[in-house]
Amino acid sequence: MKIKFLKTMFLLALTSSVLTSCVGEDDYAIPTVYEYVFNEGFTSSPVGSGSNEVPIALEGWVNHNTTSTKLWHGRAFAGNNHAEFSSFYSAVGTNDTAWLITPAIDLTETTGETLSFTTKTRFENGYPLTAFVSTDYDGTTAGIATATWTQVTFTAPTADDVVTSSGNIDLSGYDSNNVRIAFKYTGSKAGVTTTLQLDNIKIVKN
Amino acid sequence: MKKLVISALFVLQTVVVFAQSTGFSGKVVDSKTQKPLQNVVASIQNTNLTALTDIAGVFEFKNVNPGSQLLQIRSTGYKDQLLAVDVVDGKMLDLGIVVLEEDISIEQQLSLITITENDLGDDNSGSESTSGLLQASRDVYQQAAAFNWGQSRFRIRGFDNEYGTTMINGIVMNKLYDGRPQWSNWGGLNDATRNQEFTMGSAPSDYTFGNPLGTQEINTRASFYRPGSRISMSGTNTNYSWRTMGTHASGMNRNGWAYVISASRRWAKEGYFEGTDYSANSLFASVEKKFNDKHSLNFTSIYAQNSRGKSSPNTKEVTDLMGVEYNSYWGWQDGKKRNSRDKDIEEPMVMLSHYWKLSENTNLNTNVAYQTGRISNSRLENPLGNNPDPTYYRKLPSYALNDPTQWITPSGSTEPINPEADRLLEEFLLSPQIDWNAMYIANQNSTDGVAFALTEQRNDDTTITANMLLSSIISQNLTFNSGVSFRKLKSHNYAVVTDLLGGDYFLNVDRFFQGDNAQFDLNNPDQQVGKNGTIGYNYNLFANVVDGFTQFKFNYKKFDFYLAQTFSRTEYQREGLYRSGNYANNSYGKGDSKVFENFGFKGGLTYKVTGQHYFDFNGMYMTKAPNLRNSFYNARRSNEFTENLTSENIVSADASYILRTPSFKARLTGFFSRIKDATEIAFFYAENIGDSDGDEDSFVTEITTGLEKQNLGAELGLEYQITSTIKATAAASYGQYTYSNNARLQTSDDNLASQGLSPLKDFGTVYLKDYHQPGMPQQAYSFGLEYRDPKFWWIGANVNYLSDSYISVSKIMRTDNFSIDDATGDNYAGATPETVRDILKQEKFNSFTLVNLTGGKSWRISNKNRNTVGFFASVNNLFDVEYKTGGFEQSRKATFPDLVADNANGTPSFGPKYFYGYGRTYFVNFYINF
Repeated sequence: MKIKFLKTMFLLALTSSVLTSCVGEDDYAIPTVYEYVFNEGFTSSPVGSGSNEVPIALEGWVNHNTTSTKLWHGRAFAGNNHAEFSSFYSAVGTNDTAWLITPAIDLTETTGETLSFTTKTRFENGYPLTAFVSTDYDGTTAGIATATWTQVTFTAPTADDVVTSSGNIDLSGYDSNNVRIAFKYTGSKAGVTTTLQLDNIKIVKN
Repeated sequence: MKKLVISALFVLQTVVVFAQSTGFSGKVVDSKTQKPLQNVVASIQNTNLTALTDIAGVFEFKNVNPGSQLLQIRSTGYKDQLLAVDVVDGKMLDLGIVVLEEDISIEQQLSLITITENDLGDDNSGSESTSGLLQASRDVYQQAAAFNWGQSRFRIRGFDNEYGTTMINGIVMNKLYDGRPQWSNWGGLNDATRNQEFTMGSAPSDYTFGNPLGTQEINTRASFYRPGSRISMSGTNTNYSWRTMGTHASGMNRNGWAYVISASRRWAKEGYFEGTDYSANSLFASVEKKFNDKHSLNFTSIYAQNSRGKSSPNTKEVTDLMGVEYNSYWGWQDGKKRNSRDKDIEEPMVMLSHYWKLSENTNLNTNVAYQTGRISNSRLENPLGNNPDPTYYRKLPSYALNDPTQWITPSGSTEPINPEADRLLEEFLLSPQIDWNAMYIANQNSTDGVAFALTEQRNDDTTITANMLLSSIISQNLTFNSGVSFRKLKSHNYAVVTDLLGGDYFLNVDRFFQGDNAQFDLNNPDQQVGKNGTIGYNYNLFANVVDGFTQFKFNYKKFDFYLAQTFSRTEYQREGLYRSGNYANNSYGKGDSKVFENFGFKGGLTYKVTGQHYFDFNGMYMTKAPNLRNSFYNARRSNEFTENLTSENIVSADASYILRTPSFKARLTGFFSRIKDATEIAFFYAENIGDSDGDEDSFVTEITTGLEKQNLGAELGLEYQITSTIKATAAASYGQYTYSNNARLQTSDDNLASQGLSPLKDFGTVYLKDYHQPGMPQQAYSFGLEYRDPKFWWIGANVNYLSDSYISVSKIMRTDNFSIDDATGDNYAGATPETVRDILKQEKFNSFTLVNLTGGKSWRISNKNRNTVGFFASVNNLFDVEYKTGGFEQSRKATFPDLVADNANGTPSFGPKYFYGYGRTYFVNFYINF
């Protein structure tokens, strides 16, 4: 009786220990591969050159200048496309408040999201870019003024011609299906005319 | 006569009544000669009662508890006998004659394919089975592991040999360099190293605290050998073709002298794989002088010299073209096959042992050993020539197939063709071996030192070891063992030119670098080295190890238990004899020394339900100093220790149920172990690992630290004596041996050092969790039947199924460097979790079934003495099954796009390289005992 009991206990302990720590054939770890909720590198945007500017017109994006007519436009540097804005060629006497706003992004299915993007300046005479997050923007040009925009802080370049990452911006607090990221260039022909290149807008999920 | 033989497994239960005492006696004889056997151990299970037979073969037990008892009778070279005895109160029973049969596994030991000496490979892939350790075991499971699974590189509990302890007379034989015993140091001396004791897992040994795999103790005390002579002659087609061996043991004479001498030679012009020549000569002598009942002195000397050609691991591309027996290391020269990679081992040792019987129950054994010699590995160097390896990637069709510019579409066709690949194929098939003549010609045309040279990488090791082992039976219930040992190693490591291949001199510079950086030895710049001169690297390693252990074993009627503890201190230091150009400030002279202090505890319990049922539990915790090999990340160039070097942490436990009846024996064991903080060092060429060369390949050292390994599983052994002549055995091993964490990886690159930078580059996490540990089948099953005819012949057959053997994965390919492009900080194009997971999947080798046959017969030469002749024959892998025993991924294509591109057309230039097992092999041995 006692032997039987011990035997059973032993076998049970053995099987359970083997079963619980079994490693499946496809359980192995792999190196980091980023998975994006959102990833825009402007690779599909047509590019212009010199004074010929081709405005960014991506599906769902809003590209609007609330104080003038100039828009964010596609450019390429060394074969790499990006979005660019500069007040250098703006008409005399105008002020630019150029918004580039992403489509609505759904962050309800994911956790631990972080936003990052890269910027580069040329002919810098003042830093023109600010970035915002909103969850109540309706996607119209009129709605820009009425939406709630929360400014985010990011790392800006400290010298010209250096592609600089914004660093990771925590978006984990935005559990909405209408998250919009906005980039606002503020300049004028008479003031800040810095050429700003924006690229690699990414939201990585956990 | 015949009646006696048939009663071999039984006992003539003649009961004779003696007055007063309670117990029994019996007489032990040899089944073949019917002569009495002396010094046979008879022991009553579950008690401390042990008796030795006298010169007439008689043993006797008085004062035995009445009732059913189990008597075990054992002697080296014979099968154990287990007998049920009913002890009657107040009576002395006479069991009559107990017949011992020769243990045929001893013949099998001789046939054990000497994989143990055939360590396959490079430094990178220590694929070595644990057979050598197990051969003396009598456990069914362990015998299956040694004789039937060993050829496929099965390892008990998934442990490398460095986690076992192999000793000769208590002197540890595991090398401090890599922790593994060098079996070739006593290879071919099977007769002389037959007295062995084996413990499994962390079970207690009388000689050492041990390691989680187990211990093997070889005893060479001359008076322990059975007197007699034996000559044998064998033929086989494994790593050698022929073997002769002769052994004589004198037994103790009246003046207290005993001696044993043994000699053997093994040779092959060509072993199983092409171009693998073999030559081994071994000599053994042991002399004992017994001064009186208290003191004996024994002197042992072992000289084993071994020289053999190695065989290459090959990629699938090469094997598909040339077959599994192909070996790229050899080439024709003057009508002979000359191997460019020979391994020579010659490390003779002497040992002086003092046996001191302090009292009836206490023994003190002191041993001093001195071993010195050389291990050398030859290889071709090509300072000014192209790589002479016929399978160098630029010489194979895949090189053109993987080059988009070589694909052309002829006009009028839509099918692209690759004429360059066809040309390379033709050229390779025309000259698939090393071209020695071309190297001689190149050397004659070379003006700045030789273009090619044959060199030897040498380890000249000298080890002095002393130990003292005390064993004392303190009371009927308590046995005490303890020991202290001291080991001192000086290891001189260097390379020499052994053949200038018709050239004048070897210019001792690294052609990869310029100026001072190119100097292997700044103290002797631009040295023109002749034959037998030192080149490349030159340094000493020093190690001092002191350790001690104590162990208490308690024996009671229902329970046995033991406790043991150990402490050790290990000190390492390097001394550079060259001042390296790239490491001018830390390569010459003595570096800092580093000390590791380690300890361990273990304990276990045996619960004896009855004399036939046992439960056994063992547990161990210990820390283990890193071995010398992993302590210096760039030992050839610098005195620096590996960063974050720490001792390993080892936890292991097992639990067994054991059943032992005279006809049925069974053991079921579950085991678990975890090794933490392991360090591994490997060397390879890699591209795109963020070094200064960018896309160019560079030779790097890969340092993995903080690695964790987990081994768990179960093993089962069953043995059933169906009739007195037919025995069935079954064994099963189910294991899961994995890496259980993500470790850290660094590389060291001389290129960086040459620019005055730190050679180390941190690759961060290496994602290894839940990959399988490579190089062994993790599942093995065996079933065997054996028939032993009373007329001294026997045959046996075994079917073995082996599976779950995995490739050794490239670690650098499992870092973020593989998937993330440093330039963008983002995934490489096309890298998704799915594609990355898919391409990094660990290759699992096909499972396979091996059938082995054994048989033998022996004859008595005359009735007057014990002289016998006999033969033993075996066929392994009867159906000539082709199987992989191991392999490794090449690390050269270290990023996702590079690896994808290399695999794009199905013939990668840097695909994995594989080792294959032997096909059908045979072994025949004829012997005379007299």
